[in-house]
Amino acid sequence: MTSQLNVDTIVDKAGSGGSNVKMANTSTYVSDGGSATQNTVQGLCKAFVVYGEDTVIDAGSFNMASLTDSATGQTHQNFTNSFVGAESYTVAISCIPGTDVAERPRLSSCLAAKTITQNEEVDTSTDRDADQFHFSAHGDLA
Amino acid sequence: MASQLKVDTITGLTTAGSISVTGEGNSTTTNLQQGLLKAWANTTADGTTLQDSFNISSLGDTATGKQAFNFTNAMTNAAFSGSATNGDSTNPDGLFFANVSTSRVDGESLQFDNGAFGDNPQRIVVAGDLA
Repeated sequence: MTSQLNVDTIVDKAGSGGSNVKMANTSTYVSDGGSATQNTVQGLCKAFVVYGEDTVIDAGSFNMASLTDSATGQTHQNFTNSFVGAESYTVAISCIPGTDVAERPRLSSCLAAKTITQNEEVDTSTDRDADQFHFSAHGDLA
Repeated sequence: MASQLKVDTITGLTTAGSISVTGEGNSTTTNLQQGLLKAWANTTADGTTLQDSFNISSLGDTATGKQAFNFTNAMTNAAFSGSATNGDSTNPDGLFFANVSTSRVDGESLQFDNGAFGDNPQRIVVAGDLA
């Protein structure tokens, strides 16, 4: 029999803390407009990090084991939990450039366990560390 | 003792499509549905294959450098947010959204060196309200 639980708010058992919910990967939710139902777990952000030019995490991270500064403007984002495969996820990247410098972040490589990104100065096409780099990954975890 | 509740679907009691969860800092609540990505995809450069995707019913190769992502479940309106990333490390081209509607968004890959469109793998994410 299909089960359904109707709730307004989900909190942990104590009722005062966070939402410590373990969710099966087949869980679904009713859409914002109420007309569709789709998978909850596939809609979750699986990793994010915000870091500065020194590759030190500025504003928190999630599912990020470490960052590797492999060259000027080049960073490895090493996941704690890997994705199913190299083609099983997508990323969103952006940067805050240095003063009076136009920069563009780009994807260098995607692997199941890590992503490699580069940040490039537009005028010279040379790699350059961004003042701040924003990264998120979305897809199917292993 | 840890409690465990097994269900297939969680639905808002007051409004079906609205469930609140407590934020990480424990000081606020936020909407669960609105916080979820509504679609994502990873494609090949020729625009014929979805390597992996979510809430994408089909992919269209509409022109050189242009791919159409058709949603399985439509968005409420065309004013949704998202991100598009060129997936080819050897071509540092820009990838932009175009032809945005409730049922579709296009990724268009523009070559920085000559201003022409060029085929590249595309990786997109879509955030906003589903219908």
